Amino acid sequence: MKSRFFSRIGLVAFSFFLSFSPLSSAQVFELESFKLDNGLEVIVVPNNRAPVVTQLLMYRVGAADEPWGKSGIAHFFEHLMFKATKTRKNGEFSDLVSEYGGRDNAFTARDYTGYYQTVASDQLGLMMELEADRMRNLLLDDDQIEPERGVILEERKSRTDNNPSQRLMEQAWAATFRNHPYGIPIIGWEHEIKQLSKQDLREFYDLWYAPNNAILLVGGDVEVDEVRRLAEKHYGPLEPSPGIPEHRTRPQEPPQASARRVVLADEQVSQPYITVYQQVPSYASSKRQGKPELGYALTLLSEIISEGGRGFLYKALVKEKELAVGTGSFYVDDSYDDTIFGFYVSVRSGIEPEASEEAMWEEIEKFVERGPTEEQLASAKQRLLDSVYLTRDNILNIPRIVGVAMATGSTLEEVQNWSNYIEAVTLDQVNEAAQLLLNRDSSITAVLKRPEAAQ
Amino acid sequence: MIKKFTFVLLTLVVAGSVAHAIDIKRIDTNEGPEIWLVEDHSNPVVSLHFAFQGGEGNDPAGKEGLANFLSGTMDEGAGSYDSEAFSKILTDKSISLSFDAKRNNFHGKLVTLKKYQDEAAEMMKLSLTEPRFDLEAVNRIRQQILLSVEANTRKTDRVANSLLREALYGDHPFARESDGTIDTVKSITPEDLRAFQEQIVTKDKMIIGLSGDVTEEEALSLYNQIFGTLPNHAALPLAETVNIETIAETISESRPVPQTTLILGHKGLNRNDPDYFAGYLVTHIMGGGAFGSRLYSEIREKRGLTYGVYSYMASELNYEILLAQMSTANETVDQAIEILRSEWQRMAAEGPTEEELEKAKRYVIGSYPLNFSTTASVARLLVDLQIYELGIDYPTKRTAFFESVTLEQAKATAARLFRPDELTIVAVGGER
Repeated sequence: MKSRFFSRIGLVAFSFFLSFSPLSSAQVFELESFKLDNGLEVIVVPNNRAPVVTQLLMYRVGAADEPWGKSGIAHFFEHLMFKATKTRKNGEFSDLVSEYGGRDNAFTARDYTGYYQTVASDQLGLMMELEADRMRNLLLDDDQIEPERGVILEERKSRTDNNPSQRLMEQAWAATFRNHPYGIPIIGWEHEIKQLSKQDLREFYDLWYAPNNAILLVGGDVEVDEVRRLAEKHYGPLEPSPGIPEHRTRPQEPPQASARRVVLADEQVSQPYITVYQQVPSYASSKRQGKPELGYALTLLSEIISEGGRGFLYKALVKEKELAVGTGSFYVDDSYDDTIFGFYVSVRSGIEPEASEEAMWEEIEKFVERGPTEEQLASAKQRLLDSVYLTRDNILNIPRIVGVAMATGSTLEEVQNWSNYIEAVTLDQVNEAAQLLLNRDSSITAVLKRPEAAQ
Repeated sequence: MIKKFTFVLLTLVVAGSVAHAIDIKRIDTNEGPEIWLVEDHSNPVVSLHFAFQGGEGNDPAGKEGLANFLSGTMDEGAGSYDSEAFSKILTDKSISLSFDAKRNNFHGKLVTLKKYQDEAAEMMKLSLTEPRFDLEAVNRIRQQILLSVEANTRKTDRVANSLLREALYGDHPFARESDGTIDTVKSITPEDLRAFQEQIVTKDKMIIGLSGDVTEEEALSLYNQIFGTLPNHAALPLAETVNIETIAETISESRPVPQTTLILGHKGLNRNDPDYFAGYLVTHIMGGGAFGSRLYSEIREKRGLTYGVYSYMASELNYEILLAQMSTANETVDQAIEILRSEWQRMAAEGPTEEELEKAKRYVIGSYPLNFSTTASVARLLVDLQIYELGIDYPTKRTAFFESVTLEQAKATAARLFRPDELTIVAVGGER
């Protein structure tokens, strides 16, 4: 199914229960890359399993790059990019894609925005023509902006306002990042979405939507030379934006001195849960902090804790103590700046959420104290290495995995050698990463529960 | 004219690709079931999908939710492995093994790396032949099911769906909650599960699809390894055909949320109906996944009243229904219903335009190969082809079925399929 229903991927990529990227950035992709004179990076992933091709254009701009007080702009473009340009009518883009049996969609995250189409291989030129056109030539008139604003407000209602779990997560991110813009929801705050002006949108577009801020990924049944010829033809003439910074520098978080807690009680809640967040480095920020191995160690740490949903938390809290119905951990590695590591417990009915919370902390503390065993580490590594092949089973995955990694500060070399970097992690490095979980004063706890009377 | 030519050419290329990408081999096991196989040696992954006849529609009265419960417990320990030991092997070897109960069929799914194929086969065989149903595991899964049953009473789309089913399906088993109710789930015992498993698991009417890094010879030995010792007693019967009621009611249910879910529907077209493909196309024009559908354009693009609206035909072996679904702010529910009704009327009265029909055909034909981007989705396709008795050459013939729909046929089908006076509308949400 296509439709922007599924642009939820962009939002969900940052939620838990979803180990989208760490499992995925994989080696053994046969990649070729080159750069156009105007700064556009191009990566080609040939695969001739089926005569289809995916074009993914990733922009290095996301919700964390919006001007303060104007949340929702980055995501607004996920909608507006399907509107009229100087030479194309409203909706013509998607019409042309579907006319040729293709699919197209888009997604927005905190650090990037992506647009993709999957079509028969011989339509790649047309897709590039359309994508290049809307990179610089959107009209951004009121009659396109206003109905779409209504759609976005409905989208916010569907995803967030009607959904207590999402509402809580929005609050938890806001509590975690109080100085860094990761605290702003990707879709934007309702009152700010309502106030965004045409001028706000225009300035954002002119600054960020440019070849020198984009990565073009082409995967599927294509020849590298043909991609180069088509990319030169369609994207080559586009002017770069002079305002793109060398590095995206956002306000950083100060050290967190005291524990924070967000609690949401709502009639609509069926499954109470507690999630504990700690701020930790991402792949990219651990590199900038001079500890490139830390990101990989955190990926392994999460894999060891979760162990396919049946790790030590599960054994203690679900099976032995019967406090929970599920537990696990997650690490949002594909962020440009420091990110979150979390562990959670879904509370069994009849159990006080706070009782399972304390038990969860005790298990985490015991685990960090004794440290994972060599066997646990070896087995986690094996699972991650095996996951590369399972990920490759979906031929449409690969451009996206590479694109997300590149847009959040990884290099092509790192993406291709991911398996090697995972294999190189030592037990000491995992132990060091595990220390980051221990400090209760720097934790953020999110509690979702039923109202007292209803429990 | 030139443009048209490109379309035809493209269609051929894409259709050709289906034939190429989906080169289906039929392997006779000499004991009833056939294996339908698509080899793909480009990545060391093997995907198996199979289905038994019998599912939620066969839940005994008072034990609603049994098939669903069974699907959650058959992978919770088997043979000498208790739940923990069983899941440890699956986790260590990255084997994905699961079951899924549908109305008419009980599905099994296995995805494994080639190098763990033998272990994966052994685990699947054990779950089919020696599931343990240990009380600890059964009660743990029961807890999860109870939570989800309870959660469904709070989800506006689930509530709307069940209200519509209750209204249209009368006292047919499909009107019931497929996951069961709190009471029925609580009443299910390990003995119930075992008895149902013994009825469902049989070579009779079993259907198998296999895809990935596996040869014909390996396919047969996998079959023997996994299914060789299964019994061969008569499969459970299909539930009788649903007599879909025409009640044309509007049903409202109040929930404390800012947005209302709307679901509307009436009887649809049978899969064997000569106008099935025409019906599929006009439903796509009305509210298919594509951005340009009528409902999308009228309700989302022009008026910004919703984030998503779509329509579809559910044509199963024993029921057929036409549905549309959307959500909108409580204040705009009446306006949305009015538009939906008038679009229904317009489609019934005028049918699609030539241009709409051509576009729908190109989309429906051209996008088909994109459904098969994983070996698991190909294995699933192989099972569906057999369940619906579409034939091994369906992926190539499908193009012609759609191509041959004429404008006259599409208009006549639209008039027959879309019945504005028979629409039952369910609205679940806040005050409007």
